[in-house]
Amino acid sequence: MKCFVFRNATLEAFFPRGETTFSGYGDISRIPENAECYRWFYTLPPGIVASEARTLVEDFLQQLRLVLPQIPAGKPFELMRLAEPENAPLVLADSRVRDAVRFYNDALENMASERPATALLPAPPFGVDWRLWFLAQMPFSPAQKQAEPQAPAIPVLRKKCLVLDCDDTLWGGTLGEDGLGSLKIGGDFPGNAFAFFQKKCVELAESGIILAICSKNNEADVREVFEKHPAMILRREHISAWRVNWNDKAQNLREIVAELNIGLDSLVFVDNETRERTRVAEAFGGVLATPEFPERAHDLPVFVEKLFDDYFRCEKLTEEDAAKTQQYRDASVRNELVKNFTSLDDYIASLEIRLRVAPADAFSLPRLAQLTQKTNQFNLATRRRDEGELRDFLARGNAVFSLSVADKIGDLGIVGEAEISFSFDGKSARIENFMLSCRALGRGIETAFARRILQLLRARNIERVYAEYLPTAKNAPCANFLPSLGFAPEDDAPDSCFVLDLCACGEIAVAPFYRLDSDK
Amino acid sequence: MDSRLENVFKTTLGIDAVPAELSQTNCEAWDSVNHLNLVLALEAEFGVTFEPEEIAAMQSLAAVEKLLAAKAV
Repeated sequence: MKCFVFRNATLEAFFPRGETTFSGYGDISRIPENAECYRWFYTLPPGIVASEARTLVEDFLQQLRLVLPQIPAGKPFELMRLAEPENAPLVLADSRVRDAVRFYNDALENMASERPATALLPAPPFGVDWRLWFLAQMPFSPAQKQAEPQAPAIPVLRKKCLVLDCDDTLWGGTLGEDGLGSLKIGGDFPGNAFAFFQKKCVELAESGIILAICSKNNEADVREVFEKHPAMILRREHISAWRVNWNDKAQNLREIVAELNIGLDSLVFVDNETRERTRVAEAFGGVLATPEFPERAHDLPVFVEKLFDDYFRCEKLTEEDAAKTQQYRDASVRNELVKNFTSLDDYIASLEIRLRVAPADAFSLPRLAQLTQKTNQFNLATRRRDEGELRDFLARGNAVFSLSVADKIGDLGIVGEAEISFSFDGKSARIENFMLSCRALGRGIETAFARRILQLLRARNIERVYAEYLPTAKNAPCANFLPSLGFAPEDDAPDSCFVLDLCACGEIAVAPFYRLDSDK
Repeated sequence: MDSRLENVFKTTLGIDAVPAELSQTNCEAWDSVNHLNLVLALEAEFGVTFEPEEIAAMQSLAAVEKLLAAKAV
């Protein structure tokens, strides 16, 4: 192996084929000893919101501090700097992203000066291709040059309120037709592009902009999405006025300005339907801003940037704005203490990982089917399923579990799937499928997930659990997984078959530093 | 087959021949990483941009040829 690259995003296109081996995404649990050189190429997500920057770079540095002593002495180690953000912040006085980048780059410099054979690399001179970011987690593209820094645009008069439509604006899909479970929010494209847009709406709310919803839907349905959809980033508390009905939107906007006691000229109306925008613009003779909405979800970041430029960017927050900001920073206040960790376990403990193992439901089935299609590395049996097959499997009295993971840095959503079938006598169970997305690898989560399932099976008085490891070209990372859980090769069966005697295997415990959210 | 197209496939996937029936299912090297590399190489070679839906649909050589033809390449 010529070179080993630690990374947290898709970077393969930037390295010659065959000479480089990559870590998993943000995975520092496996460090090969036989590479000729090592590289540290962590990147910030493009368009990162200010409130997340510091937590992220501190996490990067904690990982790097754990990796550093494990790099074989004398071997070259190259550390890539983070690029300065391409766009000006929403609030110009808010230097959190810039400060976080500098904090990180300074820390790299210190590390490089302390370890021999350690060098710094400049940030790559490329820009983001949003399409490839949302599709493939590629933080910059070889075909995009980094934008030249420009003087930030500031509107003469800052607008006060952003009025948002719902269907195909805040999420992909039509609530009334597709139902709550089929909406595209979070997860893969285009859901991740809508999640990005929602995150930016929250950033606006935290900078003092009032958010309102104006949507042609049943109000109860929309409220249910805001309250119950696990991938929603915008929540009820971010919204100050609701007009969810089948009335004319111009009328709804009149009511919203009356309710909020602001002028029509301080509204920005965001709706994906040209018809609605035209109607509203005509009704108010152009007083009200009705920016054109992008047709393709991956153009949302460019749209957001233009919203900031044209209507919402400001020099600094007023006291009133700041009070609002404080109000939004509820229970999610993060522990900002900087700690140094000497072991991977300590580090994992510090992430405050929360796991939720739950039976499959209407929300999770589409994502679970997708996981079975896409997961290659940590996948015991690699049985591909579509949604219909999973439904059939459930209808036959079997169980499908989803694993959702969140930590103090963010929410990974559903990253694990397991399918369990039961014998006729109800005494034994078989793990038909078990997988964890590569996004969540390297934090011991697979073990916690499996142990949680074994606990649930034991609670159902299951005596034996069967499982298979079917090797593929890609799934070597889980080769020793079953034995590590206490499974033994099954007698008189092919090498791929394993069994665990739940009556004889003693206590099954999930490491205490994972918090298990109660199953619904 | 267009020789530029053939070259893109050979160099990106590291294969010696490009059979007409080449697809993700019959070519080990055509994995998700190389799929992305293929998109980048095709866009650079032919000066086109693919929509996300098109990238997802590009599961065989035939599909790629059809998409390029639709972009009048």
